[in-house]
Amino acid sequence: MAEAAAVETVGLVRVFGELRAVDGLDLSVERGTFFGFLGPNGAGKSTTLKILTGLLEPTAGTARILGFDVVTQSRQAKERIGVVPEELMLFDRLSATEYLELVGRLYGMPRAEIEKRSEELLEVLGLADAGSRLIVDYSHGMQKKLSLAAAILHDPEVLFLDEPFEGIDAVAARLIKNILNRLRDRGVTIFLTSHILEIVERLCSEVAIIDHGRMVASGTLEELRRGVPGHGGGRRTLEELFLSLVGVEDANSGELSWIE
Amino acid sequence: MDRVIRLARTMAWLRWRLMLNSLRTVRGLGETVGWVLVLLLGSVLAAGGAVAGGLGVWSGLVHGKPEEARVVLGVAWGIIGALALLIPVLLGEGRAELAPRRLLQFPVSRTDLFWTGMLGGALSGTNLLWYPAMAATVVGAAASGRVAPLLILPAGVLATASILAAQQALLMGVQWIATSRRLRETATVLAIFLFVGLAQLPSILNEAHARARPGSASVPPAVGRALLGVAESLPPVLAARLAMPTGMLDGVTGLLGLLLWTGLGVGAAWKLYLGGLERRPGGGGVARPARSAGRHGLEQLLGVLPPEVAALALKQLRYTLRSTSGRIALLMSPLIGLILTFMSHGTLRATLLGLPSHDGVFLFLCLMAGINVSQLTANLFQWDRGGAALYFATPVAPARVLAGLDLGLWLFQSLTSLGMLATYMLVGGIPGRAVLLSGLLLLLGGQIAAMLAGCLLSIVAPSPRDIGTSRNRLPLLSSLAMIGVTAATMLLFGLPAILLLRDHPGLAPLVLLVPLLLVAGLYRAALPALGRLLAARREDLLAALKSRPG
Ligand SMILES: Nc1ncnc2c1ncn2[C@@H]1O[C@H](COP(=O)(O)OP(=O)(O)OP(=O)(O)O)[C@@H](O)[C@H]1O
Ligand SMILES: [Mg+2]
Repeated sequence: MAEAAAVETVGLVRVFGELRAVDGLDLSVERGTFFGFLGPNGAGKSTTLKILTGLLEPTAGTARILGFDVVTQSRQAKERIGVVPEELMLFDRLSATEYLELVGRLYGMPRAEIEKRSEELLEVLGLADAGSRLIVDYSHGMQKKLSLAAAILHDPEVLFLDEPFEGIDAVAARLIKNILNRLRDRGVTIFLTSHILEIVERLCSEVAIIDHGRMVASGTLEELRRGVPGHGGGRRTLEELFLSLVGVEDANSGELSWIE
Repeated sequence: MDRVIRLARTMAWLRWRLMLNSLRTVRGLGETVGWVLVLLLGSVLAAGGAVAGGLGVWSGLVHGKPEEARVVLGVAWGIIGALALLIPVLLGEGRAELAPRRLLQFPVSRTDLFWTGMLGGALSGTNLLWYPAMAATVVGAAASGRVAPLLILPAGVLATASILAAQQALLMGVQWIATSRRLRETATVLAIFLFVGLAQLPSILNEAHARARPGSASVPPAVGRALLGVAESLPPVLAARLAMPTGMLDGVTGLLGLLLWTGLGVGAAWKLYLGGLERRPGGGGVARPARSAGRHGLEQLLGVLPPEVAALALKQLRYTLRSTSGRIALLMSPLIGLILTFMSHGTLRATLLGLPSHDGVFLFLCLMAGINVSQLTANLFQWDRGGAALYFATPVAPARVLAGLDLGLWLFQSLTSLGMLATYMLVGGIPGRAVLLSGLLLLLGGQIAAMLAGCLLSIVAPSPRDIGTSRNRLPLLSSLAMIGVTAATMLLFGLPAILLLRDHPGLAPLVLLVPLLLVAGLYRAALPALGRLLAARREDLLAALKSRPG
């Protein structure tokens, strides 16, 4: 039997009232892939991620992580993943150290290991000085970094990151990119959503673009570029690709009556 | 000039808007209805205040002894001043929306903003309610013929000015406190504790006094003189002195005193205003590191449990100890023990179904200790906000989430119970062994019953709360259910205890073991089902916790 894919969804649907936020999504992400999951605002990226990480129930279809069904084998699936969700799941009245300790123990890690790793993580992410302050007093970027620390603390096999670079300064962004690249080199699958397409272009080996909950395009960057011919046959950037696939057609849109 | 007037009008509009919006607590209450209500209520209150103030001062001056005239006027203005200071704070007029920091992003200068803020404050909100009363006291005093007609008007105006200055300083102080989370939370805890504690103080002192030395309760003369001196230098009394001077020097003293108070008020307001501007919003100075006192001892104690349960218990204990309501409950617990000690000797001296009052009150205290944090037990996730997602994104069995959170609260509750019971026993004496044991079983039984109902309520009726306020009352359904739990505890544990302790005290603890094992077994058996319910309802729970705290 072939090794199960890192992430696999078949006909995944999630309905909110009238709205089909995810509408029959088929995804397959091989192990060790750095996967970029793209789409305009409201496309259904976060909803998909929440289903994959066990926060939302799918309305129909199946989703598997490393072969484990996220609904019926959620425990096995969760043991192997790390998550930085869109709305950070921090307990803001704990200090960073206390929070990492809680997270580590929820993953069943031994205390000595938690202490060692969280010290190291806080050091590397530049949070060591703030480690004993309450998270509520952290800046937005600091919270984001802590959230990443919590997601990789237990050494997950698949990492889900929903907009990890939002609100992060250039120095920290570089740091995070380095960490992610190193994790990928170790064989960790990384499932990333981001609106910063240059970052996606630089990091990801494969991308999928969704819109209105449906797949618009997927494959390696090269495959996508081949699929959509560029201006004068030149190399297209991911941004051009993205705009041509889901973007506004009308070049004049964005015009305001009082701005000439 | 034009600019300042425009700004002042905007500020006044903003204040009115906020006040109106804060009155629209009943949803769907229309704009017009709100205005009509405000105007109606406002005119009734203002007219009532004016009639009471004017008539009161007039008749007090005409009918009272001449040497008490000043007191009449001073007290009238003192009451008006106290209301003018208290009501805006209670109504939250110093709220964050008005904080100068927010308005500075617009093209206005700091000084303009300060003065227009002062002016806008003077001309809006609840202040309009007491101006008529103030004016009426001046008219009433003038009509009585007891005051110097030339002096009463300046005295009234200066009294008003000093009250306004003090009020604005107070509101600026509230805003200044609001700029720092820690200041805000500490101030809330202190204010509530002082309010409740001070309210109980007279009765405690009274009882203590009565029990210690009957008939020796007179204030030492030196203290009395000092208090009088303080009272005489307060603005309303100074203003009364200015209105009815005994001589030139007396009048000048009153005048200077009032000017000094007004200047102090404005100066303090300015300082606090600047302080509020310079603070980093949200943060505020160097944060104190989170303490983890007693961590290691506790962790050893929790070491026998599954690690995730222990970790969640520790989290919940920390959260509760860092919450305003938790801190207040902890501070209040010895006080409650103390109050009940005195009640058991005083008002409650009558026996309870044949039980000595000290024993009866002890049992009652055990019942109270078991339910006194039910607003936490029945709303386990109230402070978790986004953090609650962690329960579902990590591989923890949901039943263990509940068990861990319950355990943390149970530890906290044991602390408060200890505070109550230990104080009670230290001051009033330790009850007999049978009563002691029965009380502890009653306490434990009540706690477990509350946890059982609490888990269910926390899942089906979650209600997010701000950890920094003391307003964490339960939704109606949960309150009713928790009252039911209390009644059941009384029936299952309290009644057998009282009946048995009277005639067969040795038997009582043994018999109480039966309902205890029953409740504990029920809790244990229900936990997996409650866990499944938690997992099934996670979407609603997370959505509810994300909404704005009520
Ligand atoms: N809990 C919910 N209830 C109702 N509608 C929801 C809920 N969560 C998401 N939606 C809707 O589902 C759609 C997809 O939302 P989702 O958050 O997945 O978008 P997204 O691709 O992550 O967008 P963004 O790039 O802005 O983060 C949106 O229209 C959103 O309004
Ligand atoms: Mg999103």
